[in-house]
Amino acid sequence: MERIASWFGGRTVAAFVDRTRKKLAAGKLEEAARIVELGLEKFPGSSSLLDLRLSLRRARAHKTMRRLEGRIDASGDPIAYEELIKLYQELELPDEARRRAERYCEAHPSRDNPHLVLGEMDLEAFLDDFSARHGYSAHGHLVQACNLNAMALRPRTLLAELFFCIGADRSLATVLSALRCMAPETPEMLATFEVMERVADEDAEERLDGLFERIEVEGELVRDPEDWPLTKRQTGKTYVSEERAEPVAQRLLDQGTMEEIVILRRDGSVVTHATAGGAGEESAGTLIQPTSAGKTFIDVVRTVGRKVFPQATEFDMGKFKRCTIRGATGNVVVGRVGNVMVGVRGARSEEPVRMWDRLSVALESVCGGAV
Amino acid sequence: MKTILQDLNDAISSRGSLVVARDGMLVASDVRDGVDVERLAALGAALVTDVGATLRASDIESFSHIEIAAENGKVVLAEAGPLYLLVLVGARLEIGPGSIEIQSAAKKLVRASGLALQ
Repeated sequence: MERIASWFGGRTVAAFVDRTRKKLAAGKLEEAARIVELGLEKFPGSSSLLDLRLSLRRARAHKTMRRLEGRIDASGDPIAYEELIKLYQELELPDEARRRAERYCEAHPSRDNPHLVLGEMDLEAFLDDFSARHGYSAHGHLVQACNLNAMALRPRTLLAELFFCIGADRSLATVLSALRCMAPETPEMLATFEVMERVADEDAEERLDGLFERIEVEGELVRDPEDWPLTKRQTGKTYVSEERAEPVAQRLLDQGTMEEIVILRRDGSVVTHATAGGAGEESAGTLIQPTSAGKTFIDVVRTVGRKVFPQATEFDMGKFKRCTIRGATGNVVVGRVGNVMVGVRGARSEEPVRMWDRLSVALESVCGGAV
Repeated sequence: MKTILQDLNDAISSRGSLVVARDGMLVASDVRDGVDVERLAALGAALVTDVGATLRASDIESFSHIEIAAENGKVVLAEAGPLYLLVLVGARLEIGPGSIEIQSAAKKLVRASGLALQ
């Protein structure tokens, strides 16, 4: 191990990646895993190394997966279903987790747990992409879980979280009264009741259909999930510090291999837009309205984030990594880093994946708490 | 064109492929069960027209290919003369815009589109 560590002293991300791939090709999974971990100690935000780590974890979990699948095939064991779904989620295989949860639902229609699992998956997907489809599905599964188990606390708290985030204040009032009857008075629950009481309104007019659609179109929730006290979502997301992102972008541009960097918030407003040489920079916080005459690289990033990524989610491909565009005059890479959408443009000679790796590593260094 | 797409799908085990014109219009398609051709065509149109328009405005006059990479698959859009070839592939890492099969299919589409225009 020490020998490996000394070999990698002062090496680049590419050196770690190449060495890991060689070990993988030779079937040496343990050594490959050690090299990846060493690389990630040095470059914690490297997307290439994180991808390799995930591939290795998947390879090593293969036997456990087969064992759990065997138990499901043999007896339809609900515990095996739940363990397998959890394993798929840990290995960042959301589509497999969903498929297995759907089969769990079919195999055990009277159990509330598969609906809870699917409801929570859909809730997380909805809070991530704001798609009405996920919103409806989350609502449907969580309501079903509540109906199947009158005393279940978890689907009700998740339903309350959904109503809180979308501003369904009348529905929130209904869940609040149900929770008051069954929830223990722990400090977390009392804090949640307090938040719910502030906004719940049993006389409010509301139509859930309209609320979900409006959020999808506007690309913004009514209330921030960060303000929900009960569940801090374990999405593995990092939050890029807006104040520190701009100097990082400028530093990368100064290195001379990238020409333009754009960092956007979820709503499309600009955190940073920097170009090599400094021309055309936008100040942080500006919401640039696209006009037919003034389209810029910001619009490229915004279009990929708003139109391409949501449409591509329809094809069951799992979590998105990035969109790479190779053009005659340059290359562009657009992807999500934590809470922001990032786009980078470089010369044609600049390899897009390497460009993205450098950018994601640099942004990792300015990740912190919630924005 | 349909045959070219079928051969490509068989060669790389892709989930589907289609040809879109530069205005985003669907020209030909071949998709496996479970893939909604309308949705895939809409994605192709969004890439060619919406992204294409913003790229042109951003001084990137033309693009040779676009790749959307995800954990378990990718969408590849490759230039094929006056058309674009869009391929939905699974988790095979080696398949990309530069892969021989996709490039070969794109060249065949160029020839086929030339014949169609005559």
